[in-house]
Amino acid sequence: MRVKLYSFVFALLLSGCASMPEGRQTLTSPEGQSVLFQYMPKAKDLTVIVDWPSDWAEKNEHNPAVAHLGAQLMVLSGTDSQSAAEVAEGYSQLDAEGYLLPKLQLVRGVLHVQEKNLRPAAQLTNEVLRQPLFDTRWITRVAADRRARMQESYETSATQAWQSLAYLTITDDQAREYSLMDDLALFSKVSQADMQRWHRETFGSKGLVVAVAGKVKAKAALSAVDQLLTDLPKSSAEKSSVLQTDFSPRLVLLHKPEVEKSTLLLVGGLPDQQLTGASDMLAAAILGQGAESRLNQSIRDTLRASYGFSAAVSAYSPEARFLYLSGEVDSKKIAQVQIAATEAYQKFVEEGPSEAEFRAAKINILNQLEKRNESSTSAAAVEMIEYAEKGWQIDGEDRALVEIEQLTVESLRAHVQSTWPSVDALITVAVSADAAALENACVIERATQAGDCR
Amino acid sequence: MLRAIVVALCMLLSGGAFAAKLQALKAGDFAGAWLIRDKEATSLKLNLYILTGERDGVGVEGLAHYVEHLAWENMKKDNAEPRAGHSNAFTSSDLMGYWLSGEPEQAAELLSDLLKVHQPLTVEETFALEEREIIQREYDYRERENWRALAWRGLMRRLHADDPRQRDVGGSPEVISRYSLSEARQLHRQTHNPQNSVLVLQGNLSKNAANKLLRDALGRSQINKKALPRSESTDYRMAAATRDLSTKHYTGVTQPELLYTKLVRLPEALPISDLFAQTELLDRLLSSRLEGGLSVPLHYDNFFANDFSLDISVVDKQHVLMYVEATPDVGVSLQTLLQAVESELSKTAEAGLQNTVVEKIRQRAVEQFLSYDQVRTQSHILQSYLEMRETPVDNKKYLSYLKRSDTDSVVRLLQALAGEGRVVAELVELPEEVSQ
Repeated sequence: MRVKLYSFVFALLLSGCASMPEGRQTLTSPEGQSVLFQYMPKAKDLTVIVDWPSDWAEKNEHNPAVAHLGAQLMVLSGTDSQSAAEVAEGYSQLDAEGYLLPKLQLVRGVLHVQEKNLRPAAQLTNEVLRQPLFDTRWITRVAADRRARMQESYETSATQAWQSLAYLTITDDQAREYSLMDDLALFSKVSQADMQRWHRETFGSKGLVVAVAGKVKAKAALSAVDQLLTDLPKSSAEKSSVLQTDFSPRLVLLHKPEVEKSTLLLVGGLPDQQLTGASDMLAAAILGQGAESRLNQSIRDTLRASYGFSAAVSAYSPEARFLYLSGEVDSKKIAQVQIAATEAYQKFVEEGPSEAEFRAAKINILNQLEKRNESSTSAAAVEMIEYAEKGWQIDGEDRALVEIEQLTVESLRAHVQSTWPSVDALITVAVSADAAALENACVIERATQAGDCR
Repeated sequence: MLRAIVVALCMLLSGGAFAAKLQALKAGDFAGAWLIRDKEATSLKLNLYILTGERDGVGVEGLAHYVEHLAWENMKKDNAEPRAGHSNAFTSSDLMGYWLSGEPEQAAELLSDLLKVHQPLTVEETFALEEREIIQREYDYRERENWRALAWRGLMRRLHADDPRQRDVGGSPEVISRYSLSEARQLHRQTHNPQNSVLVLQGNLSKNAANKLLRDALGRSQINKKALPRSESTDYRMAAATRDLSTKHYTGVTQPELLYTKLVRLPEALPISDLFAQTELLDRLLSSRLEGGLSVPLHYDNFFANDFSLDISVVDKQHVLMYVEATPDVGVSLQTLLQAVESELSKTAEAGLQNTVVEKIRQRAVEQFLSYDQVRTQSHILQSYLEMRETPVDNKKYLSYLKRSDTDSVVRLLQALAGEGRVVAELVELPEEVSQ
């Protein structure tokens, strides 16, 4: 009898492990802030994300460099009451990380920390948000460093290919300039007054989207959110308009006599997503990720023209998603690689994956999603925000997992055929020292000229 | 109360902080075989390490990397159906490594495939020679338009002037084009054999199951019967203590930069675990904003360094290497920055380290260690020990070394680093300054 009783208690305790609160929900903090929340018992830490709406990118009179440098300086250069070293040391002591990311329509604030340090980390971050010290010496040093790093990046052939693509596809000049930040002179034209204005206009307490995911109790998370947002002005900026893009097919060759290697980029626009995007990820993996992918077999193993040629899905904004196939290739074989890549792509779109390819990729992506759902607090927080923006329910089963679990080889084939662009609709961008590397290409000498290739 | 009991029991059942358990397996003819048990794993990962790297100095430079590419081809099957999982291979100065992951039910098949890297190179000759082109493309990918890679290669050559660690793992384009298949076959025969290999199984399987898996696979595998025993690695041969400073210009540089290395010989060889722990603590301390941290005087209090990073690594039981990468602040010359870095290091060494600061750093290191993914951490630790040709320890043991390193031992290491050593540095200037 005693054994039975122990067994019963033990079973109850075990069931307690499995039934610890999980799942996503929308909560409201004591101060009235709506918070997208997910408890993740297996995670080691938690992530708080706050999105501040911003229209800085679309106003002509604004210097876009202000937002890029401002976001960096707020965390780096100290506050009214703490020096830069003290702020940095404060985060280290709490084993926390805080940073700001300027995006086209918003500024995203991110805080990673463990629950035991959440309260002091929220307090420190609130100080950073309320009282950043835009010290002029720090503005000068950060602007100089940022400008130099951007310039270094823009001198590489891979970046030039992507820069050309942006000039081809992003039709809104303001938005493109904000995203690329390739007018490096703008970094030298930033003043302290600009920074203060950007800060004043951006970091209010209205219109925010807040998400918390991780190993943290809901009560502690909500309290920390209030603390994080304490005494921020009761204002908010507008959100920039939706990004305008044009993914119509073009063939562009950026001729750079001095480049030491060649890059090839094939791009196709994807429709505004009705699904989570997981099906596209799975299909792109079969096409171009890993040693056994279609593109690797075609371009590395057969044509012997590249160390790695891959496919993936990316986005300029949630509305501007695209598929890309890219790699650095043997300069003598650019045209052959273009043909091989488009043939592999066409075959994949027309025929879809084989049963074996599908099965292997499905297992991989399910493992990846399950692992991510258990431990990646930042991915969970971002995903909740994305779902909320689409007007989807955030609670219930994980949509991406459900989407993949329900996927069959036939439904994936149908998805690719109906949503991926046809091979004729792909944009091709090549960067090469050989101006005649691709027949019939619109040859340009600077990435900024790509927009003229209509 | 009940909730507390539930939580405590859950923690016990989940294995607590050290969920990844390292266990020695019956290795047969292998130099070692290990199991990293991960009870939550849904897939299985198998690693095969070859205890030879570029630093062993066999063949022309980069040949080991070419051999790795060709041995990898041994695992590929014509018209094989795609399998779930991932795979890759690497060559470093210290090791060559191959790994495969997949579904646990395929363990035997995965292991059988992995062991094919030991079999004589079967790759067809034309394909093998073409693979040199792929390595050229890999060189393009990693090295071209990357002036830092070029600079660090030159620095390492000068720093390790008397030791094969100066050798370039990737080879240069000229050398790559001359790799021969016969040399590759010879190096493969010398190195890819059980006696020179360590197997690591990572996943949710018991020690018994892992041992059975090895027994079954090793019994069946066609190992390279003509394998030669591996050449023993020689001790590090440090070149003379010196100051070798040079001003450099590279294409692609957009701001001046200081690339600084200092290699020191310790008064006596230390157990590798102690040295790992001491270097980790000193690295963290010098990189911190606490008293003794170099970034405060260099970056925060004074505007000498706009960007500053420091790293300390173990070369062998008696040699330690410090790297610094720093960009001077606006209006600061590279010479001034160099002097500031060396002077602040000396000042810190002379002042010594406060026990409370070392304790704080140690506490942070321990807490962070426990917050990491323990399986991945165990895998990194294991590889670090193999790089030093030492028997790996488990996470718990590694943590105990971190906990027991006292302030005096960290101070001694600091003083050694600030003392006599081999300094090799490049003061990388902007191209405009060349013409001025």
